[in-house]
Amino acid sequence: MKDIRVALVGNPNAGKSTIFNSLTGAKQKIANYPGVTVDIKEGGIRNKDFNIVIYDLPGIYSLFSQSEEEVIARDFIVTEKIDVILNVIDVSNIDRNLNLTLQLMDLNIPMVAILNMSDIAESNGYSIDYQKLSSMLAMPVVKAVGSKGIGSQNIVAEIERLANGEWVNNYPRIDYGKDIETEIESMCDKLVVPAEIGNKYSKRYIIVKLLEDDESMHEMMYVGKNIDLLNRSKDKIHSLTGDDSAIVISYARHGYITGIVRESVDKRVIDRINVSDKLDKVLANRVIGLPIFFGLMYLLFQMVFTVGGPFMEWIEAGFGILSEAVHTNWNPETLPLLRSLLIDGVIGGVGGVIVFLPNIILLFFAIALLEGTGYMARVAFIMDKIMNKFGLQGKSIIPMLVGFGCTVPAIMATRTLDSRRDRLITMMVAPLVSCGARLPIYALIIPAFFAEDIQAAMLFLIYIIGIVLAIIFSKILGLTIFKGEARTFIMEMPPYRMPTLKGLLIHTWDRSYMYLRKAGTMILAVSIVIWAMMTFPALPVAEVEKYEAERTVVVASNILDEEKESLILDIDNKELEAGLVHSVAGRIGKAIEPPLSLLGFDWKIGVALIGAFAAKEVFVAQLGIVYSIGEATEENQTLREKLAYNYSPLVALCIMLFALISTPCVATMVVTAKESGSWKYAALQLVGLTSLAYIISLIVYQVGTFLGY
Amino acid sequence: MKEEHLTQSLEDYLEAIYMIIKDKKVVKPKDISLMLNVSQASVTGALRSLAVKKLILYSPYEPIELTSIGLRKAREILRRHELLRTFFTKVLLIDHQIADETACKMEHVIPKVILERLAKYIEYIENCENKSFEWIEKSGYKCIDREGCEECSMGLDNTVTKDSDACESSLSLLDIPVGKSCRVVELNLDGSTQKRLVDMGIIKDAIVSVERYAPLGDPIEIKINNSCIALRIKDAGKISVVLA
Repeated sequence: MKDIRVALVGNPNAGKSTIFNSLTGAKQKIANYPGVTVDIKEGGIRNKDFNIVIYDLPGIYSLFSQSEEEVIARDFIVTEKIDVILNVIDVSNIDRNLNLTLQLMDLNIPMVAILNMSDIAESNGYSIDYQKLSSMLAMPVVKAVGSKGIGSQNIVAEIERLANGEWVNNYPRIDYGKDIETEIESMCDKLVVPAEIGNKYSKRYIIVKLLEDDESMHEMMYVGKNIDLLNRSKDKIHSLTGDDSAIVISYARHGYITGIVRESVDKRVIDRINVSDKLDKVLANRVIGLPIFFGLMYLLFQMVFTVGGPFMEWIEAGFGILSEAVHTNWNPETLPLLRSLLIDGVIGGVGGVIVFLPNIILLFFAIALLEGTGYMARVAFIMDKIMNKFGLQGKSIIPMLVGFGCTVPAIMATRTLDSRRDRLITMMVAPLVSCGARLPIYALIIPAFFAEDIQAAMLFLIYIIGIVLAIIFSKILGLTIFKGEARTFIMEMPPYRMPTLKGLLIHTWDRSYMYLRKAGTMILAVSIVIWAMMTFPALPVAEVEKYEAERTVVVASNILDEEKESLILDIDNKELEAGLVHSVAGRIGKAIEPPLSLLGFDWKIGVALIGAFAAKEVFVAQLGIVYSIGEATEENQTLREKLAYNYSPLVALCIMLFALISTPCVATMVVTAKESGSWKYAALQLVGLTSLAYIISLIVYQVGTFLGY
Repeated sequence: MKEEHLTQSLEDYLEAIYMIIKDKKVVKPKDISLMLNVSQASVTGALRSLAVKKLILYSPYEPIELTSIGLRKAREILRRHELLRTFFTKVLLIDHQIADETACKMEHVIPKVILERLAKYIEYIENCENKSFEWIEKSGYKCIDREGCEECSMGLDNTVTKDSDACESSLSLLDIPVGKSCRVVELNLDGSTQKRLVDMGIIKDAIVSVERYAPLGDPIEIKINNSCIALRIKDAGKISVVLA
């Protein structure tokens, strides 16, 4: 059986992922390649002769190394030995899409052109001469409608044919005009090409890229007199044509495309899908655009809670039953440590996280919907001026919005920013946008301390504080640590589309699965570690005997049975508390209590915060464990009631602020280090955010106390 | 569109801004005051009036930028200066320093029509293939070879008219009302931004329509072929267009 490696390449919004989904179905995974920081999805088709592996590359406008995505896409095609390129083309923007097609031709790899959304184009009055287009591009052209699965079979057939047959490179060679061609010829003889580049690219391709000012090619070819040679040629072209060589080349390419389109496509109606325009008249409206945006965001949060609520209760009940079952069926005398580990460590820890899965799935679904419909681009459009004021660009709002779901994909979403400065700043402040994992903390605390009618407003306030801090700090970082000029904002506004349910579900599943996996692995591990930290070292025998003696005294005394019971529970509680104080976690909690007491936190919150260092949602599980100690005396009280009993609303607010601002979870740190290419930035994030959290909580608590709250 | 006349000193400021941008990429008011030997206060005043005339983008603490109209105007002033100086040095064989000083004064007042003819005259003399023009004492330039000179006059017209397309328009994308279309004449953006726009199809002669402005007035959304592209006001102002 033969392996065929296929890359799916196309402009953003050309409908690449719908084609990918229709080709591979649900059998896909995020491919993991060393050094590749952009998600490359991998899917397969297997039949009796072939094993086709399809890679979905990020959407790009050109092979120019401008954004990281462009560099990655190009390097991926070249280094991963791709056998066939599937070039997805949006017919209604055929000119611009062909610009990429022509650049791809230079890579000398068999290619299939997929004319996507051809049904919409045809109903809009386009008539396409597929045969003519195919012969002019010297590649098979397939008509497809990704969202309906039309064309998939033909695409597979073409892939097999190209991989099987002897493919001959008949790609048209674009004549860039006399001035350029003369320079290409003269450089061809003199240019020194290092072997590792010469093996990958043709000389003509290298020279054209150099003349186009391609940064990464420039770097690779910085050998000998190459750059002098190049500059001389560029000067000459400039003096002859009055334009930069890059511009002359792209004009030649555009001229060539115009020719192809004129010959093969008949555009009778040139009007874009009118629905989009009409929707934008409202959604991007100068007066109501912003209120609509904020309104939608508020609705989104409301929806996440109201729809998610019942599901949460069911899961909570389920874990309660499970814990109860173990509690009653497992005799406390046999393997007491393991019993405690299972009930308090495993069920308590993981259960406390899984409870919030409904919320998180809903949030991810909502974000997938915003992205899939095209509204996310409008958000960037509406918000650019504000973001620009704070030294970022409109596109930065997207990672931040994704950050409402989870900070990890948010940091990965910064890849769409083409300036490294903007990327780093966005990465640093993205954790301030409250992620789904922090939601459990608010969901636990808000109902415990605040009246029902202000709960939603309270939650909204916490989120807004995070956003405001993120904005302020991006400005500050932009003026201090990451000095430099912000890259300008240029973004395509895709037409509004009805996303396919399948696509939405795949997106939601991908992200939710990541969260679940985290719950299943890291959080489980952390829960066990924390359980161990709270259990060991155990109380010395002398201490245990002391409590035992006290109990014996009570039992022997001459009082009512009810009073006896209550006194014994009191002693039990004291013993357990002493045990916790004696444990590793208790000692750390106690050790950090003095600085935390300035924020109104006691050592129990301190212990929970230690857990939150590992992952934010552990905070809740941790508090559950810490307070399960008192369970014997407060039999029927829920954790919320215990919290409300022990802390004031002001302290509750400070807990939420601290959780919101303080250091991101371990996963965020790892991703930040990976995406920025340096642990330095992860460390900066850790120290910076933790200090900020401390300072702000301190101010709020001290001022609040002074004002008498 | 009617050309608005600038005072002599404003023209000097514009020219200075242009020269500094060319040299250093970024202009600060201090550089201008050094170059023109004037006080910072008068620079601020001049910058304000240039901004009112939409020739530059100027707000405190931000780098000064030329708009597309400003850029064209500055180039025009500079071209006048250079043409006059060339005329003095090459045609009239005047000393370089005197030529420069005189050009500086004349550049503000010389009517366009005279300037164009001077330009033609210089190019005519410089480009004459046979080099048959010679400076003859007491009677000035004379063509000593009156035959076989067809080519020089042909080539001449081409060179002179080359820039005229760019000069014909003084509109930028920002002058186009929402809903109207225009034709792109020239892009004056910096390298990578320009490349990105070209990749997206915004090239010379492309027909572009202005769709809308964002709620806060920036960015602007334009439509080209069937795609809509959002870009900042600052960049859109550097795209010269003519109404289609």
